[in-house]
Amino acid sequence: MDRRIDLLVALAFALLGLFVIFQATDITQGMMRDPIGPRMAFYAVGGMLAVGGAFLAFRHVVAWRQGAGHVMVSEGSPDEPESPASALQAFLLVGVCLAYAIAFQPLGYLFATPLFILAGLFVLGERKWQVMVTIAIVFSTASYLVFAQALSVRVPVGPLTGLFRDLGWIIL
Amino acid sequence: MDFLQPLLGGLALMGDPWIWVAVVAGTLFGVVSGAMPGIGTTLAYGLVLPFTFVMSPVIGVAFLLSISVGVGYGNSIPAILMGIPGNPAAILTVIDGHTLHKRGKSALALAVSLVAALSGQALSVLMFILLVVPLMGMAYYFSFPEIFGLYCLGFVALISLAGDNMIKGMMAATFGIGVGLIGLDPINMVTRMDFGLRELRSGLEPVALVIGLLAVSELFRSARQSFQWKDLSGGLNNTKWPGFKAIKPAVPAMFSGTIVGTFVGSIPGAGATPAAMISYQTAQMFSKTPEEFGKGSIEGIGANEAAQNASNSGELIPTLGLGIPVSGSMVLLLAALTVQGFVPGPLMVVNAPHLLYAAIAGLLASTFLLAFTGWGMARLMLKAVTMNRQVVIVLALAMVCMGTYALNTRILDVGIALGAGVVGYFMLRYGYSTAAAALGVFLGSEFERSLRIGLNMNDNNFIQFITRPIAASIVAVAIGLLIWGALKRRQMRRRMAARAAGTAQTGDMMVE
Repeated sequence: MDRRIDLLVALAFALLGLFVIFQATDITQGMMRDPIGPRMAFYAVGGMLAVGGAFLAFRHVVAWRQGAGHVMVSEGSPDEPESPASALQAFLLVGVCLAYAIAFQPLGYLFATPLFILAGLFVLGERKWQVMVTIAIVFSTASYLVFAQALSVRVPVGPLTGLFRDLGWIIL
Repeated sequence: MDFLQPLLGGLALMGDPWIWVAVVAGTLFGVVSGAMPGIGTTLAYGLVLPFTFVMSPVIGVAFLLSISVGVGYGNSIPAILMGIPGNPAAILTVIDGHTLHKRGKSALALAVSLVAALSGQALSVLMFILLVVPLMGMAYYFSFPEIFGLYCLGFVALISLAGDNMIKGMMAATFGIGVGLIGLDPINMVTRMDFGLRELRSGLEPVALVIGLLAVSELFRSARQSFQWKDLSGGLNNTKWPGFKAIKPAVPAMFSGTIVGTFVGSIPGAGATPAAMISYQTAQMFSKTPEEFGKGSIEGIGANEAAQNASNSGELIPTLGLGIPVSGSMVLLLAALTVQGFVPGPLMVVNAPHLLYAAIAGLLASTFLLAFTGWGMARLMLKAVTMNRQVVIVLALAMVCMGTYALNTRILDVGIALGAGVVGYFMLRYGYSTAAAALGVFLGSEFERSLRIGLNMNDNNFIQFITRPIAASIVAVAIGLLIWGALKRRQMRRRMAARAAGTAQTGDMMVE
């Protein structure tokens, strides 16, 4: 585990704590007064995050001054040792997920989902296009049938809305 | 309510064919998920949660609990065959089970884990009934101060979920509490931390948050690496049932594991991992061959697997009896019930006893099912290990997105789950417990609500509030457990450090 990133994460929590305290001062008190009030919980949360983050950051700085290096024993879930790990790959997948969420309504589930699956598998290093396309189409169609038709979830279908409405598959 | 009624209610529900449909689906899904390394009960719950919204609450509870039983059995497969613990509780199964696998005795290890998991589960259900019924009788004495006490007790659970670094664990929990507090103030109904956004006025959808923190984060973390599970497995060299004679020496260990597992599992602040560790130590103490523990002992596997499954029933005691979830998966179980309109708390099961019957039916039916099909499923689980890991990750993400969208048909909830997943990714990577954060989301707002409304009811007098007899005793128990937990934790870490030092020393001597 990289001590520098751990330090950044701790500082991010500390900053979040300060931000929470700052924002909590803006909360209106309301008509009904009680001894605790609507701000107190956020002061406590912000205080804990700020103090905890600052303490962790301080500990790292002390470790550096004592000559400890950037690499430290991992405190988080470790990767599998036999295989290379890439944070970039994980973040690309996060990006693909966000794009999917944005495209979900305008493109509709039946177009956005296969594209998401193809992009996701591509990011994770799969290149067998025939298999990937089959999985994407079968999963999207099957899950649409389960959610939209069997579980009656209102799933957006984007450009197909008019067609599906004419066919009587959706009532909206 | 007498003790027989829940058992009879549960058995009566087992006559409903729909329960069996749910249990078969849940158990199969649980076994397959458990067999895939990295997918534990919590992630499995997260994936199927949206399906439970359209089920009746009874079917939904039975379905979810049958998944727990399936995962409890399924997760011994990667532990034994690949040496990968699906969760921290399975670490001891790895030590003994994987050693047996390397010696060519995979079938024996798998058989012991099957028998231990099933007997542990079945016996612990009876203990669950014995313990939860008296709790339910007390429910009518509970008002806001007592519920506040219960939430204090819930906070004790954070000790075991905090992970190795206590400060990070507490910060993770605080983060969860803070996010859970966004929305309307419980007394004044003023908006808090909504940043002027209409969508945030009534708070962030807690189910989406919890799914993001527990399930999406793990999927994002898994996406760091591309490999196939089957490359890590040595395959199964012998799938013949070894016979009960071979398993018999492990039976006393399974029995003690069940008792320890149920009790330890029910304590907020404990859970499956300490249950497994304590029962392993107990079994070693009573064993005729204690020197074999850690070197391929079937007693060790028996004690550990029985305790893990028994703690499933143990965790249900505070979850259903008091409305306090003590683990990630129990948070999701209560989330599923909240979506169905139930209000978690001491009165939940008193008002809706069929939830209790459903839990019993789900646990018993899936245990029964595994007793007949479990060994055959071992082969199926090996197939699960050969599934393409990358495809599983991407399809699981697609399912989570669809599932969170289905909560309120709002794309914002998908965004919340993904955002929580990204935060959870960093938390997992850098040792901030996501389970503690998820529990914080659930506990924080209710803690504040019960404290402030309770104070209001007691003339804003804290002494009057805290000296109500039941409230005071629960808070005292919580403080006691907190101190006991902290001491035990220190003791366990010292012992582990000593053991590690001992191993290093033996290693040095062997080198010399």
